[in-house]
Amino acid sequence: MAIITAKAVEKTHKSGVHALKGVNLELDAGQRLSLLGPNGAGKSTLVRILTGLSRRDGGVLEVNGLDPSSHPRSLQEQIGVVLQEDCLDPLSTPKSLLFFQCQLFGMGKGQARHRAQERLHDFGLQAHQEKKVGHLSGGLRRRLHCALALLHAPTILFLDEPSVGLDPESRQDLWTSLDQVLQSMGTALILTTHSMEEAQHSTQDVVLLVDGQVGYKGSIQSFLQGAQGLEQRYLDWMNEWKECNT
Amino acid sequence: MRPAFTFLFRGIRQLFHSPWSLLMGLGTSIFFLVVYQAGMGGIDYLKAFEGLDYMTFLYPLGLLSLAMGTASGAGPSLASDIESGYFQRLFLSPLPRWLFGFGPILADGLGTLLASLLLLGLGVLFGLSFHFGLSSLLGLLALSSLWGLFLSGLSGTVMLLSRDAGGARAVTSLAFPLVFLTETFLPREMIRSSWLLVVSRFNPLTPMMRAMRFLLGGMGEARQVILAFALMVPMALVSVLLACWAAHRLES
Repeated sequence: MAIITAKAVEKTHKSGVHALKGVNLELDAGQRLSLLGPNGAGKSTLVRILTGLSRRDGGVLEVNGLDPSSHPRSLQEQIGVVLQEDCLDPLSTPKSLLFFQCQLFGMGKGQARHRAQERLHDFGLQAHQEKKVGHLSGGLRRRLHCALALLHAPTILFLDEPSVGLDPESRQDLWTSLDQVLQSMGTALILTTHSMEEAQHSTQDVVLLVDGQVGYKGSIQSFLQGAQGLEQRYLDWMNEWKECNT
Repeated sequence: MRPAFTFLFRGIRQLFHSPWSLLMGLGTSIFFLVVYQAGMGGIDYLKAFEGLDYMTFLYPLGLLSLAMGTASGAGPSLASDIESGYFQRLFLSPLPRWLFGFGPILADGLGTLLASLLLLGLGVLFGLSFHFGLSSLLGLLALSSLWGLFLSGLSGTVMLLSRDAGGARAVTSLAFPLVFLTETFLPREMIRSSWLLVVSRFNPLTPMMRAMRFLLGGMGEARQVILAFALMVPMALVSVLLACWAAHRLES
C-alpha cells in the first residue's frame, strides 16, 4: 500500500527556476528508495515538499494520507527528516536536545528521558551525551541528526545526503546504526545522495531525477542491467539521457 | 498544549542561561541614571519639576532604555536559533509555526519585566518611592513590559522575514533615538528647541514618560497613564501579532 503518492508535482522557485516539472512518485510502507540525480535536479526541493517544509505550486500529493501543505503539523508526527544543513543548537548537549525534541512531540518527562537514552544508545552517542553539540565531530553530529529524526518512531524517514563530508568509517558507523533502527521500526526510507555505494547498500529502489523530471524509476537491480556497479550504470544512463535530450 | 509550554519555557530558560542581553540592558540603564543624575541632578529645585527629585524624574529613561537591551534582537533564543539553523529543526516538530515567533518574544517580555523589577528595586535602595504604592509598581512594570514586547515583536518580525539577526538589532537601534526625542531630561516647559517640542508631541514615548512620572511621583495628570496604556497595548499587540504572522508564513 502506497504511503506516498505524488502526481504531477510542480515547483518554481522565486528566482524563476522551474525546479520540479510534473514529478510522479510512489512509496510503499517499509520501502527503501534512493532519489538520485545531478546537482540542481530538484532532489532537495522534492524532499522539502514531501516533508511540508516547502509548498508545491501544482499537482497532487499525499503522505500517509495527508496533504503536506494543508496538514504540516500532523505530518511531522508521522515522518522523520534529516536535512543536508547542520541545523543543531550548538550550545545544547545531545541529551538535552533529544529530551527537548521528545517533549515537542508530546512525550511526558519519563518517556522523553527513556526515549532519548534509547536513541543515544542506538546511535552510539552515550559517551558524548553531555558534550556541547558545537564540540562534536561531523560524524557524531550526523548521528545526532538521525537520532532526532527517529525519536518519535516515524513511518517514513527522509535522509537528504546524510553522509556528505563524512570519512568512510563515520559513514559506515552511521549506516550500521541507521539500518538497525530502521529495520526494527519498519520505517520506509527516501534517501537523496550522490554516493552510489550508499544508495546500493541502503535501498532497493531508485528514482532518477534529472532537470526536475523523473527520468527513471524501478528497482536498483533492474536499473543495473548487468552493469558492475551503480556508479558506472548511473554515468552511462546520464550520458544516454543527455544525448536523447540535446 | 504541553509541547507548546515546553517551547515557551525553553525561551525563558535560555534567558537565564545567557543573561547577557538582560545584564547589558540593566547596565546601560544604570549608567544613564548615574551619569545624568550626576550632571543635571541639581536643577530639580525648579518649579517645572513640581517638587519631584531629579532621579525620580529621570527613572522613566532608565526603564525605557532597559527594554532596548533586553529586547534587542527579539531575545537570545530566536537570534541563536536562526543563526545556528536550529530553527529548521524546530520546523520539523508538530508545533504551530506562529509559536516560533511568539515564544521568544514572550520570553523577552518576561525578561524586560524582570529587569524592570530589578531596576526599580535598585532604585528603592537609593530612595526611589512609588506615589501610589503597589499600583504604581504594577503600572510601571506593565508599561515597561509592553514597550519591551513592542520592540521585541518588531525586531522579531524583521528577523523572521529577513533571517538575519543583525537586521533586527538595527530595528531596536532605530527606536533608540525615540527615548531621547521627548521630555527625557527636562519638563516640557523648560525645553527651548521648537523642533524637539514638535517631535516630542508625536513621539509615543512622551505619554509613556509622563505616565511613569505620574506613577512614580504623582507629577502631571492621571489621564497620562490611560493614554500611555491606550497607545502601548495596541502597539505591543500589533507588533507581537506581526511576529507570529511572520513565523506562520515562513517556509523553512
